[in-house]
Amino acid sequence: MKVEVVEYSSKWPILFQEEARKIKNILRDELIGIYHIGSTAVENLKAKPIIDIMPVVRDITKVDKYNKEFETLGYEPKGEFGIAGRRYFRKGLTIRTHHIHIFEISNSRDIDRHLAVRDYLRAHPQDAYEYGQLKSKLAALYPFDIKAYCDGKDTFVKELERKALKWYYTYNNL
Amino acid sequence: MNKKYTDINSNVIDKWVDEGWEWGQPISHEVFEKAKNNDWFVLLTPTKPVPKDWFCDFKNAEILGLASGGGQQMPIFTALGAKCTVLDYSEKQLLKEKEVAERENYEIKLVRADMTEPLPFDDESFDLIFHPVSNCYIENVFPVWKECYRVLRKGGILMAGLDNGISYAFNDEEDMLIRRLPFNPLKDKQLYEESVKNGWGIQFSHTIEEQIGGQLKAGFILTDIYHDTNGTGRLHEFNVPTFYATRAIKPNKKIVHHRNKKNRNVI
Repeated sequence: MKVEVVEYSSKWPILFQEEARKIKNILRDELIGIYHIGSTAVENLKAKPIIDIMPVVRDITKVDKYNKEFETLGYEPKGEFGIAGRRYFRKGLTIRTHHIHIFEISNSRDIDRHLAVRDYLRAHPQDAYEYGQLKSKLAALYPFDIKAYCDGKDTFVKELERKALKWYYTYNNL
Repeated sequence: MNKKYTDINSNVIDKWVDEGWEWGQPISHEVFEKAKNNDWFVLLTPTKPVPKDWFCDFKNAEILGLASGGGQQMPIFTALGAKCTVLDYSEKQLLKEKEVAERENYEIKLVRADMTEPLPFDDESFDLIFHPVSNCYIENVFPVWKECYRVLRKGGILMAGLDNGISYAFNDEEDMLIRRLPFNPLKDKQLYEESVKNGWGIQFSHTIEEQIGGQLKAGFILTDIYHDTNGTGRLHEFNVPTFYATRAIKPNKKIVHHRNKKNRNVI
């Protein structure tokens, strides 16, 4: 699969809304909130054109029983997939279009981490610009090596997460 | 409009509970057990858990769950050592509460009452009142704040989830402003009929003046606040705060708000 980083598209929030509605119909009362996360949620940020969606649920153990319904929507349920307490789904085998990362409400660490990065990038266009530039550069360097692409941005992302969380907790004061 | 609107709301909520309403789904045994090990959360508003440092010591604390049936918060507080009373006007919400209490084998006082009437409790009966979003089902909120003040002990805490009214101005898709606020079906026959027809119950938008101003006028001191969003939909995606959660305390000495008439003429 080719690593492709493209210019921001105003269609992304709309694609998110459409998908969020479908996910809400599956999870129904289990769902507490649903969030557009990742780079496609940040205006003017270049990104891989994959919509990252974070539903927050009351009880993570109840999510697995909806796997069939997610499959009907075109998703592949991948279980925790490397992050404890998560349920991860991806859509589009050859052309990836969506990722779903479900967390339980009690898991504030993971939820805050995702929201902090998104909100930080929204509030700091210069950081967002630099992040976009780095991603473009890496995609050009490693168009067929997603691992090298991810390793390349790892340091930046870790530092971004650290700054974002600090900012987020100061700002939200909770 | 012969029947009192709160009776209509009680029936509507009973119906929602039968249909699997999210606020009528009691916690599981596992969640109850986890709470005993201090692993828990409760909500006053749609998405954000209430900060733990908002609470008093739970051991033997007397807690009133005000319009808070459904078996979601009282079982948690009980697991943490509190003695709980729950007041709700929905029979079904109280039954859910009873269901959990029987399953987990603890005592809870269940009171079916309309919170627009004086609360059926003595003065200074509780250490904490937990009042999740629910006053959107009553027209006047001030009498409830006054009653909360009366039944709380001095130093007692009132935690409330408050709808700030904004959602009521929008259509279902939340992409158009369609209604002038306040939203009050009792003052608008067409809105009343629409509310009944759509099974919304009789709901009311309230302003922050009514919600927080009302608490302050009743004598409370506000000690903390956070906002929340709807959890889903366009207003949520645009990060528009539609709910507030407040923590207020009943002071040891009643605060009197002086309106100094002299100051008005100073200029």
